Amino acid sequence: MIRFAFREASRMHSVKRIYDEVHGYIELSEVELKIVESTVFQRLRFIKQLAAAWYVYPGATHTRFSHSLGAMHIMGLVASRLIDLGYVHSVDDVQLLRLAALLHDIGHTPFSHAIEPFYKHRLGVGHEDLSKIVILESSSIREVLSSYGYDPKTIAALLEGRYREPLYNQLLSSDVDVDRMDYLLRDALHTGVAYGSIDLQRIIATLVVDGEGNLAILDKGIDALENFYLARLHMYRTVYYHKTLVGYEMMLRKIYEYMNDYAEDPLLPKSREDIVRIARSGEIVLWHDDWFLGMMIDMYRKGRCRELKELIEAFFSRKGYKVVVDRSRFDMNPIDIEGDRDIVVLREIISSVKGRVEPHQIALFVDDIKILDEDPYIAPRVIVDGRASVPIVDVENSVVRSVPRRYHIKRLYVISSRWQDVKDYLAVRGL
Amino acid sequence: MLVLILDMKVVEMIVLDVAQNKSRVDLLVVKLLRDTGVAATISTDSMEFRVAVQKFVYLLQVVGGLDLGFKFEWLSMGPYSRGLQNHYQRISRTLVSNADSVAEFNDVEQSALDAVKRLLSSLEKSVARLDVKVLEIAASLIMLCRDVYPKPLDPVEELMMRKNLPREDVVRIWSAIDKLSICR
Repeated sequence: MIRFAFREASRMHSVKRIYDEVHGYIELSEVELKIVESTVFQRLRFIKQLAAAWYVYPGATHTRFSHSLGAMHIMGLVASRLIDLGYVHSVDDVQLLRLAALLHDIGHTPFSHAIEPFYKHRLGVGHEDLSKIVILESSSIREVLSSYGYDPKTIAALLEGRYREPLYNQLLSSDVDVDRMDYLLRDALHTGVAYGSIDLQRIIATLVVDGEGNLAILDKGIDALENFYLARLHMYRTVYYHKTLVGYEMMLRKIYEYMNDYAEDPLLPKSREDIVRIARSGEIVLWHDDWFLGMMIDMYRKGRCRELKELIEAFFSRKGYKVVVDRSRFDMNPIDIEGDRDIVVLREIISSVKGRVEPHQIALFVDDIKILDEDPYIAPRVIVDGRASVPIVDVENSVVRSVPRRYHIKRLYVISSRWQDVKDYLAVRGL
Repeated sequence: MLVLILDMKVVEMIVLDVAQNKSRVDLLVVKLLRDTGVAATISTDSMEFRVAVQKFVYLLQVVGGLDLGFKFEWLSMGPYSRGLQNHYQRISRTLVSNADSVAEFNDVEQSALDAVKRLLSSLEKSVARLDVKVLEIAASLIMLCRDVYPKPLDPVEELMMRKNLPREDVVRIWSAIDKLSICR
């Protein structure tokens, strides 16, 4: 457990504290408590942080609720250090930053990142856009913020990285931001992946701002920063892109797609306007994992669509998509989607097994994960010898120089019931 | 990240930034790099190249009105989009290989290119040069007057407060931007 001397408590009046499994007591100010008590925020108790990761790591049942509190808490610690150094301007700004961190995931879809790409693809709306919609359109959030003198548009601008103060944008969105710091610690704890943990105390204690206004780490904190990147790399491979876990996330996404075709429900928004509508009406409070599981049970019983019924049954009986071919690897460069030979091969395999599997029984997953921001423009910086501010990727003797920049994931999945047949077919053909 | 379902019959998830209209960005940026002469002054593996790519794409979206799907944040060097990290290499390859020489642009793209070139030509007249620093100042001033919240009263003073820049250049560049009504 990470426990700190709670320095910002002396700056902001705390009216409640909540015990957190990662950080110990998390103190809440009056406005924060009002936000947390709102039904829109309570919704986050019903959204698992890691979607269906509990199908692989039984303990990974933690929620967006605790993560949001954790991100707010870390923001308080970081902002308190930066106010001491003169880079955060006032206690009011600390509160503003904590509110932004608290609300950063307020718009998350059911099953978090499993369903989010559905809206990103169909409507061009990601979870940051959803958070903005909720902050600006949900009267309960908007009114609480306004009644305490906080402009909801300012919170939205911070979450979009458009706030006037570039440093504040970095605190909420950069390689080493408060969101990542909390989720690495929390996810490592709940999955039990010990090498996913980070030295939060050291990172915060050595955090400074360089002459250009960029976040930086003093060179005495470089080991903590290196460990942060290594932890992230391990978490990408062992948790976030674990082969079985990704299979279940794709299955949930496919079920959600079918459901949008076969079910009518206000919580299946078909447009950006629909999302705004459920945020305004308050119906959004039920838009969470449990609602979706209920819809799945309902659709399974009704059995209107054979393919959907098969997918739902496969999900509940833990006989989902299994990997038949995995060509994933680390790389130093971005993936070339058109020219990548592995992707061509995987697509050829899909064509060759048509007739053996139905379209909903086979799934291709390709992603290009950026392990670190190699762009010197925004890469975290290290203050070397108390003078030069150097991007971590350029620091001599840093192990980060050797860390692969990318993780290319290229996998072909087949539903469990057809897996052996396809596996045998591919083995005969030497694939 | 953007999901691209290439074949709706198969559950195919290509979870990448490199998708749909974003793939056009490479050709558009190379066109600007060449036509403005900026390409001749920088190396494709330099920091300046990346800054130029960032600012050209920002200008194409904001001044050209082209929706390329990139989100820009307000950071210490002005507008910045993380998604463009996936494009530096492709843009560099396109530039070096001259693969853009046969590129054709549709009306919307051409109109965006023309709008950006009009602005850049105006900037060049104002400060007697067009380099990466001028691009950075111009893109930053436009972001300050259009996207940053709360909106600063005076973009010039806001930028000068944050960056060590030649005031005369910043004032002249702002004047050129103001004349083109980009911020209104």
